[in-house]
Amino acid sequence: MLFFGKKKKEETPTLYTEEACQSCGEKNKRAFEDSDYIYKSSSRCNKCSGIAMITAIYGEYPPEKEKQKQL
Amino acid sequence: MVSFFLLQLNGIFGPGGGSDSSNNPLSYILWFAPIFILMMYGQKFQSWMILSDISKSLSKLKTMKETARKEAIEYVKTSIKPSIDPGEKIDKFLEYFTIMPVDLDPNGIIGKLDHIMRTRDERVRSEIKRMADEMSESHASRMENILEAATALNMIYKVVRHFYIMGKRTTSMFVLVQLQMVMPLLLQEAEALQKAISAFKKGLPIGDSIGPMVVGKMMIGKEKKVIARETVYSEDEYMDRKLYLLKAEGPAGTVGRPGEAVQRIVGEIGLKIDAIIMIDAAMKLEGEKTGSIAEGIGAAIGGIGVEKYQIEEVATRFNIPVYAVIVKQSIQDAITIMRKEISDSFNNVCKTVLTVIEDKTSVGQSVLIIGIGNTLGVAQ
Repeated sequence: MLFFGKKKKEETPTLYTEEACQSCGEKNKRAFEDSDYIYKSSSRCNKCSGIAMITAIYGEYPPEKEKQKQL
Repeated sequence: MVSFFLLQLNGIFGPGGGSDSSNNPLSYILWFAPIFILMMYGQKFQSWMILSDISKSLSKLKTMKETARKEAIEYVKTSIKPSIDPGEKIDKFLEYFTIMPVDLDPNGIIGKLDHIMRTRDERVRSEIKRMADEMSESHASRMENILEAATALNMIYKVVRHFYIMGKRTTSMFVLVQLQMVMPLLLQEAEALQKAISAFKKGLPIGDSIGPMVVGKMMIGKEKKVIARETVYSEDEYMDRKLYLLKAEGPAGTVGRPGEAVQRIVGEIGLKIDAIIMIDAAMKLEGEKTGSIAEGIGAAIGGIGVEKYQIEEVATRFNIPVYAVIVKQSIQDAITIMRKEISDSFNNVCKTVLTVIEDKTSVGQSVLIIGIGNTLGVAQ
């Protein structure tokens, strides 16, 4: 018990950027790029060629294997 | 040791009923010796084990501290490209300290605190800018955040090392046990600080940025006026209510000066405010869900207390109710890259804010909405 403690695995999140078109509302999720920031007019919409704006940047962690029991 | 005890047990309970072994004086000695040894040296053994445990954690902290230092130097070298080697300067930064004002006289302590913190911020900022003449505000604020995290890591390491050496020298169980007990929490905090550095380097929004993110969305397309250092406000309307939106100026890594801004908006400019709504990240208790939202009353703002005092003082003077909307998260989540759970709570926070406006104010009234937190990676 003293010497065989479970070693915690390092968790690294995958970074994503979410964009939404200002004209048609089309949403797009892609990998984060260095110059991204929230509310930046980023690229052209794939659907209507309108201007898309970054609406969220977040890190997604891998799902936990053992979910803690809800108390 | 184990085989010895088995032999002893065999002697007592084994064939012969132990009658032979009980007469052997050597077995008596061997049986009682460990008890006496543990009675006399038990605490010493325990101290050794605790010391080795703390020593392992201390070397982890040392690695983290050194990595943070290297990352800070690397960031300066790659992004700012200074003319001289920044190593010496960074080392000097890591040793900077702030002496808190005397609190024996309670009259005016907030003013003194405010003055000291401003002097500190300005000194750090000017020292960073001196590293490279053409440094942008965005890079300077990122650098400030990186140095703050690296300084905190350095301080944790030095304090733990101090108590470790003191405990080792005096072999005081009380010092060592206390240190061992807080060590997991310190390690957790240190790991969060280390992860925060990579978020600061990339300019990624952190968990604490949820407040500025909500107000930033409301400010899109509106005229932004600078009201205090690194703090902007806009005007808007919602259901015949006048809205004043306030946040730190992003996407730089700053918290702005919301306290000073509220004092100016209400006290100096004299805008009539009927309600203040503050949106902030708040510490969740273990077992609570990350990204869950709660509503309450009072100034939702952390920090040393200066900004909170300034907002409370104005609210009390002008009899303005202060409502709070908080997004729950752990201290680690608040300073590291924004988790998906927190980002997903965005729409619900917006809805909650609008509900508070509708419920707590009437047509024709004015509401000041403040997004509290570090606006790193969040524009407006």
